[in-house]
Amino acid sequence: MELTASDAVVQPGLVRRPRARPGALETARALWPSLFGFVLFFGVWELGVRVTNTPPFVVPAPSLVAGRFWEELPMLLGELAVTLVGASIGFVIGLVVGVVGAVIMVHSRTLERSLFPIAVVIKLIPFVALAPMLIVWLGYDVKPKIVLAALITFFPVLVNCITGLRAVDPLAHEFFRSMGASRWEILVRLRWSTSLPYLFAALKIVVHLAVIGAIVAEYFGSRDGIGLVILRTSESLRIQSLFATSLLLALLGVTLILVTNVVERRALYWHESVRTSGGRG
Amino acid sequence: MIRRVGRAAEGFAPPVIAIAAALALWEAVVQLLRIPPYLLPAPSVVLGTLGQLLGAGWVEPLRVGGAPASVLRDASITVAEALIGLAAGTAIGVALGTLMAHSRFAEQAIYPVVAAIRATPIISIAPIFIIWFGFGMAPKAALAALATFFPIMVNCVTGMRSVDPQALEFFRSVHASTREIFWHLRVPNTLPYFFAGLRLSVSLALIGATVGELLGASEGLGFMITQTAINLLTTHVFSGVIVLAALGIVLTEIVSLIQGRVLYWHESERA
Repeated sequence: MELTASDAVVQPGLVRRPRARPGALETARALWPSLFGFVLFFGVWELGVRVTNTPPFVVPAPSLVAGRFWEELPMLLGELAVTLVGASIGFVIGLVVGVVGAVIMVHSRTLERSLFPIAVVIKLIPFVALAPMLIVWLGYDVKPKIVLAALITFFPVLVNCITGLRAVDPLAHEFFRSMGASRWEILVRLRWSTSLPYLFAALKIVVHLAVIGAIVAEYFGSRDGIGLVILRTSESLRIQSLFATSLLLALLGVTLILVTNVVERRALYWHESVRTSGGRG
Repeated sequence: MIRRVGRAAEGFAPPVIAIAAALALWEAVVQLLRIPPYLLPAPSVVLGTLGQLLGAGWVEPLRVGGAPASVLRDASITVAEALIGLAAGTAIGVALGTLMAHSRFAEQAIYPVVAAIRATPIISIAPIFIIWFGFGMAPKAALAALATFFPIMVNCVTGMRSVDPQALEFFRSVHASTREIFWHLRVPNTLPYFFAGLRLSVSLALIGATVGELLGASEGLGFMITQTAINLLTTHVFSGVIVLAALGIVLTEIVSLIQGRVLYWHESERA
């Protein structure tokens, strides 16, 4: 099982377009198609529900969903906070283990060839399906969330980090060695910076998945959190509340992606994938 | 010849040893600490159960309680749901992708809406689909479609946009029509991207279908896994998860095989 570039979740910096820093008018001009898309989507939905007289317990109109969303927002945010605590702890653990594992595997061929296959086997397991077992093993508290989020985070981070640590410019590597740099210096000053774009490519996927993992764990057994809210509202067929929860989670997902993008731009200001997009992306 | 076998063995030995060691460690821990099988079954026990489930062949399931006798029927249902969903997701993904590749306006209008839908976790949409479509195959196929259309759409857009400018220039210079450019240049150029998206999507489709089954179903692998989990039939849970993982590998390999046949002319396959 040789590690190839195609194992990397996403190659960094592939879908960027160069863009100049725009003025207010240009921003408006650039944003209006997206605005049009959302208005069309929700407009067709709202109109369809009204014209066909669909009862709100089958398909609630967006206006109804928005009302319910506003009503339930304080409760939802409270539960979401619980979910996010579990998800973040798991995320950090998965991230640290993934990065440390990658550093170890890059430096020892033997360890890589013996540990990486185990990581591949771990990757093949559909963890969502193991959620019911995690509840049996770890109980109804925060632990199953942490473990599921960590397991989901671990593999993409490991693979992309290995790929990135390997992707050093051979000339730069040669230069460092000719200056008598130690392995540690090469790691910290050379390999780490080449691996960052790859690491961020993995993070963009994983940040969101860690939260989903925590929600899944909550769904199968928990005393609080968004997962429990979904379970309760679906059991009582409160479809408007389900839509309101989905809306909140969609907003959260979009926010997480945007935040990761901002952090990436700050951390990678020197990298060409960020520079060619004019600081925006 | 001997040297080649030796080199192959050298390449295979570390992973095989590592996985065997991990399994042996697991077995030893379970045996030595006498962990009861309902908590954590030893790998040998899981293999035994898996063998039984597979060896039993096609058995109509018991409707009430008890350990399932077979896994083939449940597996075939999950695969059917995943494939129906994948077909629908592919159709939607290709249609949206083609539209977006044709016009910047369509891209900018569609992409944010679709990205927001994509950002919504399946687990919060699944209950809505189950309420709408009932406990049969339809909501699972819909979830599989939802999980799969996005990678295919994105890859289609990338593929159609990334045609070789020189080839495009050549097509234009011989007065090829837009339609000819589409079918003879853009589509062949998109195929490798399309297959990359499809390979990603196959396992996503399986997971989408399984999530639907975990939340509300009367058959399928996800149903088998939740039912055995609440009855603490842990060896059956593990067997179900292994079958699910194996299906993911097999289906992905099948897509790779088809890719090889279709893209025999492409450098990625010739190399």
